[in-house]
Amino acid sequence: MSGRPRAGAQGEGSAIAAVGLSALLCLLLPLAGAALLALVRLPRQVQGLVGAGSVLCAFIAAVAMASAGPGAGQDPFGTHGALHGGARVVLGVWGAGGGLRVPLDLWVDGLSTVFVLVITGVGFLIHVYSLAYMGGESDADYGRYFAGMNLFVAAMLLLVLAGSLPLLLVGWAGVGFASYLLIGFWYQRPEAVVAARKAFLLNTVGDVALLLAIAVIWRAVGGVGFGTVLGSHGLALLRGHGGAATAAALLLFLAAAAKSAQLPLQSWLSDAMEGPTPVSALIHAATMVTAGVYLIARCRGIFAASPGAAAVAGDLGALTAAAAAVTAVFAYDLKRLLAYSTMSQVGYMIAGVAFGAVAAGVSHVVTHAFFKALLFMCAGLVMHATGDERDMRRYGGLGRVLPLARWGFLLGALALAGIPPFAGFWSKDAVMGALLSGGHLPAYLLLALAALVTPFYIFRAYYLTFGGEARGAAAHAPTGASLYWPTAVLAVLAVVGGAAAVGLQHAWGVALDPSSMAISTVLALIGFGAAWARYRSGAAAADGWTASPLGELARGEWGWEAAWQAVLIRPTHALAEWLWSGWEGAARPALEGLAAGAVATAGRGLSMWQSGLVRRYALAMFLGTAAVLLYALRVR
Amino acid sequence: MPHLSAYLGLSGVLFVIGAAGVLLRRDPLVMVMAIELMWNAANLALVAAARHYGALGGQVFTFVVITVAAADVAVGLALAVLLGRNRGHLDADRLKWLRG
Repeated sequence: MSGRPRAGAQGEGSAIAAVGLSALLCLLLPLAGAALLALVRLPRQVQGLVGAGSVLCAFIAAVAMASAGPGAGQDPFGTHGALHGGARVVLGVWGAGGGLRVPLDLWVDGLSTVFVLVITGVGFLIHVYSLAYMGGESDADYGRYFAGMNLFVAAMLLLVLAGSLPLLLVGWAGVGFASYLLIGFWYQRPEAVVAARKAFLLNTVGDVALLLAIAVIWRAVGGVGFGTVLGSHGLALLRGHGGAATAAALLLFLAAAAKSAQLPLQSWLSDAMEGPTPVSALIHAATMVTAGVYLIARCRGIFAASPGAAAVAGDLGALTAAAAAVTAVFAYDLKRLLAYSTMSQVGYMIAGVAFGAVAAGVSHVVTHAFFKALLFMCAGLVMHATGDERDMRRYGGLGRVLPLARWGFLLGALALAGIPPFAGFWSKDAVMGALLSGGHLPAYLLLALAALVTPFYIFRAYYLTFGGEARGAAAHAPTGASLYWPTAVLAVLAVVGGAAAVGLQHAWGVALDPSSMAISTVLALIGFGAAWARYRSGAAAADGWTASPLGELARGEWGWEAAWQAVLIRPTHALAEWLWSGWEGAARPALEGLAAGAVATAGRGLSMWQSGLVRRYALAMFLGTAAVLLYALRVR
Repeated sequence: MPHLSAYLGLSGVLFVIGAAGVLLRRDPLVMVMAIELMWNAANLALVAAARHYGALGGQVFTFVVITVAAADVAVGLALAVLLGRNRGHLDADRLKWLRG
């Protein structure tokens, strides 16, 4: 049935109609919310209602879509990673010319259903949290904020529901645009503007890579719809063109690396912390960074056709996981620490899906969405309580002021650390187990290192923030029920969300590996034990060792930024400087003077002809006529 | 009846006289008259050719030319009169304020 559900029996027609309607509603509701909020000046309460309500309605539509369609439990992949059993919702065709026909379809299968449920569900909770969190903004900014958030959700939904690569690219670019708007939300702050621009530029690299990947795939397969490209026939064609498959897979990985903040395009994510904290929660949990995981998972067949490219993607993901985890150990800024943590966890997902453990990687998307959104919400509570302080060295003792944030952060930290039976363990270990049994040893060892370090950095953050005595930042608990109940819901999900992960893995035919589970548990407990031994007092003195030169290097992101400066940014500036002073300053005016002089001379010469003397004009007419006549006679 | 070439020769002589008048005289009134001479040289050629070839087209076209020439005279004379009235002289070479 792959790719052509319309050809089914009569009874299937109404099911497809229900799936299509709910998928379309799910897509259009947040988009309509964004348009309404952006174009119409609404009262504050209505802005919040539209902002959060549209995403809630989208979630309801997503649940309807999951029950009417193939559902989250449907394994979307057949042999060789070919798409199999998805429902195609035909909306139209865009004939771009040159033989390119772009199907404007939605594609609903297990993979897109999981993503849509996470995006709308977690996205809704973050919207509710934002209602109170952004309460200090003016009415106009409040509306602008929710317009951006709704646009973000809508673009991400388009990304995961698109049934052809160009339509996916539309959502892909939309996500980048919305993130630019939201990271730079406080546009009066230069840091926020710079961070937004950096995120947008690095994401554009990914957009171009995706565009090129689409071109390569189109040349090799002759189509761009999922049914054509990722069905068994298209993948067989790609396997025939080994070079095309490798090029496409590497370009797809580059696109995913930009969106998911993986090496070598990772550095925008830590700067993106300049945006409001709920935006960070949305970027890290529901939208944005999981897009790369989705892309690789969706194009599983292309990576399967090119094991070399898959290994590059998986190994770089694992390297990101380890490097970002080590960087997080030294961070002083709580939000930056969580950003490194996200890079690290997304590295697990990328490694999983690139090496073919799609169920494991996607289940980690789900659990990570729960606990990372929870951690960001708790960090947001801490920042609100301390007047937007982000330096953990100035926290301390906040557990007494913010008991819910403390317990929420603790549960999120346990889930992130991969300590059983909390949510993160089940999905993280599925990735590690798949890599171990698949024989991808280097990647496994990198992920094991990350698994060892993760509990250490997150409990360092926990103890420094909530334990010990207050160190400077004055704290008072923020008010607003909508800050607290989404946090509580996510805290529950961080505890029991593992069931969803295991259920997904079971449905998609993957089993957990007991020996890997044992190793992971031991690693997590060692990491936690080390953090407990060093930091349980919560005193700042315990953290003295991170002030070392090594720590400085880590906080400088290992000179990565300086390397970009030297390789790309400074040469570009030099070129611009040369163009400004050499070309704009000297060469261009000289050339312009030359051209202007030539025109002026010619004009002066020609103006002699305009003597103002009627008789001379008459003479010219006679001579001209005579010349024409002579010419005509000569031709005869 | 003389040969066609005689008519055409006369027509050519008249045309050259007219052209010389336009090019050499500076009085607009005389220039208008010289232009009329050129019109008539053309008319003579047209009528003679029509007669020679036994085709009526040339004679019909002569009427058109006469009509246009009448309009031309009207405009030309009006220009000359206005010029004399406003400038106080009739010298085409002094009218060169459109010089580039």
